[in-house]
Amino acid sequence: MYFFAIDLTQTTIDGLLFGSTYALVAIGFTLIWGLLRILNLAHGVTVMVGMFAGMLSASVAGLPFYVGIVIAMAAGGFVGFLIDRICYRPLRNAHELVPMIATLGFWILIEEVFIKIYSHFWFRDYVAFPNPFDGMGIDIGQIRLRGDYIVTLAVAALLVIALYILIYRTRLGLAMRMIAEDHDIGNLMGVPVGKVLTAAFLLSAAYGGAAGYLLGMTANLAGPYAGSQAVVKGLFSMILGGAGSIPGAIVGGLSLGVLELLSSFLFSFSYRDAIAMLALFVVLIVRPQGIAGKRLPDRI
Amino acid sequence: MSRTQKSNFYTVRAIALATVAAASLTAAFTTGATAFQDDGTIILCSIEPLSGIGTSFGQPNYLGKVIAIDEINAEGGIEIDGKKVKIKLISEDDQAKPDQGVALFRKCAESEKALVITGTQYSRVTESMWGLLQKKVDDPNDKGLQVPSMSFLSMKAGVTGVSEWAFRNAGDEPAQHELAIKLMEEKFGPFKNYSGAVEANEGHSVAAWKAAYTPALERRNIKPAEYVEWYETDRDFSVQIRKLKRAETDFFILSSHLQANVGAMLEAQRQGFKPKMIISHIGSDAAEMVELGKQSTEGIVFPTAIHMAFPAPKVKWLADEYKKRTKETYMPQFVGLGYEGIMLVKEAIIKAGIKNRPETLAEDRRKVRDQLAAIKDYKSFAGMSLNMNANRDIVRPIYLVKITGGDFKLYWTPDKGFLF
Repeated sequence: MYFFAIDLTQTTIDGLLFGSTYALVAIGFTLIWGLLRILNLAHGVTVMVGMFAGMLSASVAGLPFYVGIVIAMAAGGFVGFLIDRICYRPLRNAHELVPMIATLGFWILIEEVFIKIYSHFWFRDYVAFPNPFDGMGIDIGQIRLRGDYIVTLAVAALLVIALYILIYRTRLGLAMRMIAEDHDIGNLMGVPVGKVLTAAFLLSAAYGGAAGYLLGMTANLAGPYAGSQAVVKGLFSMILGGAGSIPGAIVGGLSLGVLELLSSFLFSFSYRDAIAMLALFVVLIVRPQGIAGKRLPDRI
Repeated sequence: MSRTQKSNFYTVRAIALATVAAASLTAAFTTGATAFQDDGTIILCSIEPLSGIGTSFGQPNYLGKVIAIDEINAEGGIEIDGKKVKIKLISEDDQAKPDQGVALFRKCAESEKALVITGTQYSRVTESMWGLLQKKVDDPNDKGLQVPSMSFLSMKAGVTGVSEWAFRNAGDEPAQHELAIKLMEEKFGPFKNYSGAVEANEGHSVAAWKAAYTPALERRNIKPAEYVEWYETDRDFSVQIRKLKRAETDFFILSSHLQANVGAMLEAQRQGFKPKMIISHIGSDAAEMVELGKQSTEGIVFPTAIHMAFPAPKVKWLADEYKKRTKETYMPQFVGLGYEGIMLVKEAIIKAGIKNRPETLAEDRRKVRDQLAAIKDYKSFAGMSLNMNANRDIVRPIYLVKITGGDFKLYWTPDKGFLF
C-alpha cells in the first residue's frame, strides 16, 4: 500500500510534467481555431521541424538549450508562415473546410518529403537528441522530479505567460481578440486582418516548434513521425480542455498527460488510449464545450 | 466576382488541384516497368521499409540484396537457355505500412511482372502482403496471386502459413528464445522473477511473446512476475519501468524493437532498474541501440542468424562492402540475410530451368516456387548448411549476440559455446 501511494503520486506528477508538452501543442491548435474556426492539421509539421531544428542546434552546432529553443521556435514559426501563405491565405474566401483540407495535404506532403530526405541523410529510425538535463532531478522523499520534465514545465509556463501578456497587453493581442469575435468588424475598425492572422500562424507554429524541441529532448530522440503523434495528442488536448480556449488547452494537455500515465499505472497500458477516449467522451457529454471552454449558443 | 462566386471558384480550384495531384501520384505509382523479357533481364522485386519506421532494418536488408545482385550481374548474370541474363532489382518502399505494402506487392506481381518478390521486414506488412497470394498451390478455386515471395526477416512465428507461395529465411524464433533462456539460466541462474515487456502494436513482438517467450516460461512453470506493454512510438516509459522494478525483476524479456527499446532502457537507467539478465529479439539488432541507448542497453542478449565476426571469409568481405557503401561500423544480421536470400533465389532460378519469356511467366514462377520449397543442404556464404522445412522456413543454426562495451559482440556459437 505504501509503494502504491508513492507510485501513484509519482505517476501523477510525471503525467502533469509530461503533459505540459501536450499543452504547448494544443495551444498552437487552439490559437488558430479561436481566430479562424479551422483545424490547422499541418500543425504537427511545426512540431517535427522544431524538433529537428532543435536537434541540429544541439548536436551539430552544440548550442545551449535556451538558444536551441529559440531556433526551434523560429523554425516552427517559418513553417507557420508557409501554412498561412499556402493553405490559408489563397483559400480564405472558400468554404471553411477547404483550408482545413489544404492543411491536411500540406501535412502529408511535407511529412513524406521530410521522411525521404531524413532517410537519405540518417539511415536510422531515430537520431539522438542531446538532453543536457538527463540524470538531473529533485528528490522529495521517495518522489523524484525529473530535471528535464521540470525544465519542460518551466518553459511551457514561461511561454504561456508570454502568450497572455501578448494577448491581453499588446495591440496585436487586442487585434487578435477582435478578429476572434468577428473578422468583418475587425476590418471595419481598421485592423489589418491578414497581417494579424499571419502573426497568429507564426505564433501558434512557434509554440509547436518549442513543443517539438521539448518532446525530442525529454525522449532523447528525434524522429520524422513526431508531428503525426503530436497532432493526435494536441487535438485531443484542445478538445478535452475546450476548443479555442488557451486555459482549456493547458488543462487539456496536463489532463491528458496524467490520464495516460495513470491509466497505464492503475489499469493496463493496453487500455491507455481507450481510457483517454472514454474520458473525452464523458467530458463532452457533460460539458460539450470542454473542461474550460465557453458554451456556444445553439445553432438551431 | 461576387463573394459567393469567389468562394465557389476557390473551392473548385482547390478540388481541381487536389485531383490533378492525386492523378499524378496515381500515374507515377502505377507506371510499370518495361517487360523484363524485352530488355533481357530477370525481374526481382524488393519491398522493404526504406524510410520512416523500420528504416533501421529495411535499409541494411535492401543493401544486402543490392550487393548480391551487383555480384551476380558482375559475373554476367544467371544462365537461362544457354544465355547469361542479368537480374534487375525493382525496389519499393513500404514504410512499414501494411496498406502500402499490399499495393506494392500487387504492383510487383502484376505491373512489374516480377519472377520473385522479396520482402518485407515487418511481419504485419508481410502478413498483409501475403494475404494476396493463393493459399494452396493448384487450387483452381483460389484466384490469389501466384508468385513466389520470400521474406528475409519477418520473424512472426508461423507467418509463412498464410500461403504456400510464401517462404522465409529468418530463423525459428521459438527455438531461438528457448535456447537463449536455457543458456542464460545455465550460466547466470537461478533467477527469481521473470518479467516481460511487449511492444503491443507490433505483430512480431506480440507473436514472439505469445509463441516463443510464454511457452518457454510455461515449460518452466514460471508465471511472469510483471508484464507491461508499450507502443513503438511512445516517449514516456516511467510507469512500465517502475512496475518492472517493483516486481524485483531479475530476468527481463524485452519483446520490442529498437524504437521503444532505447527509450525504455534510458528510463530504466534513470530509475536504477538493472536486472541481472535482459534478453531481447532481433528488434534490438540496430546501431541505434548503442548509439542512442549508450550505457543503458549494455548487457542485452539477443539471437542472430549471421554476425560479422563469423570466420567465413565471404562474411568479412560482405561486412567490408557494406561498410564501404554506408560508412557504418556495424553490419546487422539483416545485411547477411538479404545477401544470402538473393543467393538462395538465384540457386532456385538456376535449378528451375526457367525460360524467362512473357508467355512462360506463370510456369517460371511455379518452377521457382517448387525449387525454393526443395532447398536442401544449401551451402551459405556464412559457412552453414541451410534447409527449407515443411513450413517453408529456412532452418539455420542459432547464435547469440551481447551488447558489450558499446558494441554488438558475438556471444555464443553452437560449436564454441560462450565466447566471453
